[in-house]
Amino acid sequence: MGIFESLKARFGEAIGDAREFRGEETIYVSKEYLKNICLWLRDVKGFNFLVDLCGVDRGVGKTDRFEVVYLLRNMDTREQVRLKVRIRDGERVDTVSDVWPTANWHEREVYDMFGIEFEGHSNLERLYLPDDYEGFPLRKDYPVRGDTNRIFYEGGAKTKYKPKRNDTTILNMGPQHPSTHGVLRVILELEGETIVDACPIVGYLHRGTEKLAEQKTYFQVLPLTDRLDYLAPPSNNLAYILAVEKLLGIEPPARAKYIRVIMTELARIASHLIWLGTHAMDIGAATVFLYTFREREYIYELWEMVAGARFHQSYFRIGGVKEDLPEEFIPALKKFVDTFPRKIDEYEGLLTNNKIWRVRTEGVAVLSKEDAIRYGVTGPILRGSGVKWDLRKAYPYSGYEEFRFEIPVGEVGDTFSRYLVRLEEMRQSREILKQAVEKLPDGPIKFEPGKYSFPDPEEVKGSRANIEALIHQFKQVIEGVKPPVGEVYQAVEAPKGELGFYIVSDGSEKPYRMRIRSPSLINLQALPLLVRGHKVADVVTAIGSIDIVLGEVDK
Amino acid sequence: MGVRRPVEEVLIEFPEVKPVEEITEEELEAISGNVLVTTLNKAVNWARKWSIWPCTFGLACCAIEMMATAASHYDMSRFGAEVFRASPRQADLMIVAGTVTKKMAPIVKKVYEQMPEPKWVIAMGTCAVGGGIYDSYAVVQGVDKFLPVDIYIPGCPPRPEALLQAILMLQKKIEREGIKNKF
Ligand code: SF4
Repeated sequence: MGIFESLKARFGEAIGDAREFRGEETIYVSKEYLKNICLWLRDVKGFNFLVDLCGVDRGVGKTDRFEVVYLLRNMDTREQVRLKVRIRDGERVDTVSDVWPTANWHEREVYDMFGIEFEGHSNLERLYLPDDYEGFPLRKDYPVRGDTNRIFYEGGAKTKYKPKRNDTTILNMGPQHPSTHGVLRVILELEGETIVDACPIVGYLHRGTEKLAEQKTYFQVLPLTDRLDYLAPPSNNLAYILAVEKLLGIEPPARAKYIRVIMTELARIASHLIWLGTHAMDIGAATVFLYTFREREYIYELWEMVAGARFHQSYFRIGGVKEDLPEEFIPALKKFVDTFPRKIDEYEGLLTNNKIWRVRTEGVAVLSKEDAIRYGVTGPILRGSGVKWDLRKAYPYSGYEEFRFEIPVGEVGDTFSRYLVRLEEMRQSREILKQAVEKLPDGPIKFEPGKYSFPDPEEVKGSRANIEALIHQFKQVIEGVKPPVGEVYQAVEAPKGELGFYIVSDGSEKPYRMRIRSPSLINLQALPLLVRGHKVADVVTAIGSIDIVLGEVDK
Repeated sequence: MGVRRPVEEVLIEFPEVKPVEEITEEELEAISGNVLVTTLNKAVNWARKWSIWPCTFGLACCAIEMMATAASHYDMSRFGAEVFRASPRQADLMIVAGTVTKKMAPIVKKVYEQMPEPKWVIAMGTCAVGGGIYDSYAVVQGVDKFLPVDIYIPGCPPRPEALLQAILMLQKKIEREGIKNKF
């Protein structure tokens, strides 16, 4: 019996109809029974992981104007199901933050962007925008540029925090702080030097990516995705492009898949290198930073060879990649693959058995397996807590099933475990690169160029120009691709965790709604759990080991 | 350990000042090469331009290129500007590296105001220059809407070479400044 049938059997009338599109099941449920349904799915059906929760505005004037969308996952059977609740403007929905604590920030975000309120939520405030902001940007009738006359919103600078106890000190950290890795702000409640509670405040880099995406054609959205996790742009590109391809129902040729794998694995290494350098610097080991940037520069050079840009490449295309690899790339990559293990040994030599490093990381910021799942944490942090979960294995994409690699897992769930996991991940990425170089197939790099992406430049100018290609070119410039009506969710294992795109298409040339499930944001939500009871100095350790990047946290 | 001497011994003795006519040939010979005649303006600006201390202050992606500029490969210290200070009170250059959002703007302004004079601002990347690709409800369309900017660097992100060039241009600019106006 499928999920829909068993839900129907259990809840009857409360379950509306179900739809399926590209193998993804969507079930409409009634608002009144939402919480019961969620509890039942969690406890009886094993949907222990809330992947994503977001809102959709169906348009001004529709009777049930808003939709709240829940994406659930059973991590054992790998089943996924999407629940949807439809509500009128002004109606409230029950919170599910007591079913899955990770929903807390999600619901705040939905409130921030759509003005939908959640009944029973413990702290329903704006997540991204300052408190004195007016309006809800992701509503369809809200202008993209918002209020163009206002530059300053003092809400960002004011402290708003209710202390838990009255004998504590409040310490503000950030958003301008060298160890918060960007513009994160954390308010700490201290008793002496011990942390009673921590409250991360985000949104200082909220740039409105989701709203902007609604104004652009599918291809034009691509550069916006680069700038989410700006330490690993190809991962973001890949997640987005795969989502669009899923929407269109197309598959790129084998060579393109391999090239994508090469780029994204380089991105994983590059991202982990920055993490290692800055994390070590925060703890006081400044040398590592200079070492890791040396290798990162080399990766920049590789990327530049392929895409012409050091980062923000936007090199992937719908149905393939922009150009084939240049001749000099493979030898240069081989050199990297050959020398990199020695470099990792070098970093390990500086840190792994360094007494200061051990004291500062072992037993610090421990996250248990159960909490990790409840809080929706993904990526190296989840694995550091001992859960063997990697989307490349769980739902293979882009040809990952053809590669041999291990998923490293930690034992303790502390900062040191996460450190070991990430180092091992770099080694595994190098393994994948090695296999990709060996097995790289020949053949085309685009699926039906012209139809889904720009035609070959040779065919639209000079002597080889032909009318068909010119028509394609024209169509691509004017409207790009037009996927059928439907909705998809596609996630990849980005360096920080599960990066997913949920795209709703209304059949036009622009995404009707594009939702980004950003791993850093959700991982960051667990920060208070990690630091409670530790000393102030451990906060930077915890933040560093979560490995956030604010472009993605704030979107 | 130093030996503590009576105060009189520590006093610095100034040589007697002689009128110019009385300086002998040998004395002239002895001091030649030790005197530098310049304007105060030039001397101060020279000192300023070779020790620009930027504020550690990254906003978005451009900050990663700023880090790359300071790191091993590009090594910003070749141009005397590598001492990144985490406290704005010790810095005299603010590199606005990244997108300035409306929520962040009051804080950027506060950081700028905390920096002591003389101070300069570089707007790094199209976001800081004019909002870049983020023409949205949340982003300030250029940091010069509320801060005086000395050098603009286009690019998304600008390459490290571009940032280095901006530093060199800033040094040229500092050379020409009148110290009366900037103190
Ligand atoms: S200019 Fe480009 S690289 Fe720089 S912060 Fe803006 S989006 Fe990022």
